[in-house]
Amino acid sequence: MISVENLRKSFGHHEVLKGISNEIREQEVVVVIGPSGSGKSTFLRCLNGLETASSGKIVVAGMELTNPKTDITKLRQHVGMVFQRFNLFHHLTVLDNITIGPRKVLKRSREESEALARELLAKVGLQGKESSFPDQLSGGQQQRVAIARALAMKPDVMLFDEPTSALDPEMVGEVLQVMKDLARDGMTMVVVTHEMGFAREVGDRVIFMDDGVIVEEGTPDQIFNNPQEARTQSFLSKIL
Amino acid sequence: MGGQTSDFSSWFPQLLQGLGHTVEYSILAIVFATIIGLIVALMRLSRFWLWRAISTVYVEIFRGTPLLVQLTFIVFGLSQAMPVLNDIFGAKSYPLIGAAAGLALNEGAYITEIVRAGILGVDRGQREAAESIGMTRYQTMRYIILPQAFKRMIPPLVNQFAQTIKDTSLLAPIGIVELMYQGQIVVSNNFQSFAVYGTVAILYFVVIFIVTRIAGYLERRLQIDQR
Repeated sequence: MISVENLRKSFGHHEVLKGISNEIREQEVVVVIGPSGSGKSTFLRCLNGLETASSGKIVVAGMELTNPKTDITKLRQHVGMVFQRFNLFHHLTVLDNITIGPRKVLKRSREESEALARELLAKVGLQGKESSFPDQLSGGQQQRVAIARALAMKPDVMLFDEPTSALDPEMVGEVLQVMKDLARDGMTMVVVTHEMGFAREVGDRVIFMDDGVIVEEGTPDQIFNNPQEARTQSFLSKIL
Repeated sequence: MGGQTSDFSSWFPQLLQGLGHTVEYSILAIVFATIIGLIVALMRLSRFWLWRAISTVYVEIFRGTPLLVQLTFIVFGLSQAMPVLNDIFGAKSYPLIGAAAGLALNEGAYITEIVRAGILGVDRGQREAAESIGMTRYQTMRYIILPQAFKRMIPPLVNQFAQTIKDTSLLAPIGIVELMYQGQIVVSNNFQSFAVYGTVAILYFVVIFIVTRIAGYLERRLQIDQR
């Protein structure tokens, strides 16, 4: 589903990603962990072109992202993204937040898009919030709307950039539950998170990044119970 | 002659006639300045250097010189250098068109900066979210950025519209009929500077007051819609 070869990314003279290679298979749930500044968010943002790779090759859903000829807006229709700060469109209702993608980008009819949106709202447990504005919702509710907005494009893969880091603790559970349901439905997911419980329970594979490289990867059991690298051990000992 | 023209009922209609032209020039200038401002602001934010260069030069020139000089230059200077302008628009109409164009270009430079600040003031995450659902740059601007930018642009825009109405009084020194010009004509006949210029000021005030009230009402409506 996603193939990354020797991905490098620099901001000015500062190299944030120093040669990342990885394959993410269909229906796989990959959890990326690591200290802040390790490059994990930048890695994720490279996967839908929000950041442009300095060098290397990225292929997503059969399209080569790093080829300048690729229509990046077309590619992004296949890649859902959920942000730490939700980034819901403040001027649109919940329903319009979800339907604007299908309507304007996929040119679906209003009726069809709204039917899909109501279905997705039920899925994330927010029936009855159709006409609310984002600022009227709690953080957890906003993030669930953001997930529904991404799903409305019927993406092949979903990227999550620290989706629970901006939430009050009591709202983390409801968002993680929606993500678990998605994983169970077979969605391909790449999740940058600090939620180690989620990584253990839902992750098929855990990637530990530090200082712009993948230090270690493996099953949750391997990474959490039997880490091989000293840096992984040191990171886990601080957060677990 | 003095007896008749010093009567309020004899000169007030003359001012009202001038006011009509003031409103016309104001509407023309505001409409075209807004269109210019929107287009040039998008040019200033373009990735293409030539658009950025042209738009920056335009804004700097019109912000960096006095409006009265611009109007005089366009109406008298340009028509002398390019007599063809008179042929195209007619020697009588060119000063009116040139004056309206000068006003629109001047106010457009300020509106450019208002629109640009409004667009840049929208959180970067909104653009990223729009792009991540596959919107093109145009769609992102049209459906996500501009509607949010517009809301924050209303107060400075209203300010600029009020300024535009006041600036139409600078058409008087170049001999174009509007409220201030009519005031000067009336005073030159009846010498009642206090009453006439006082009335002129009140008329400007009323027009601007109406505009700002309507804008305030619209602004409150927009706030309510989103809460």
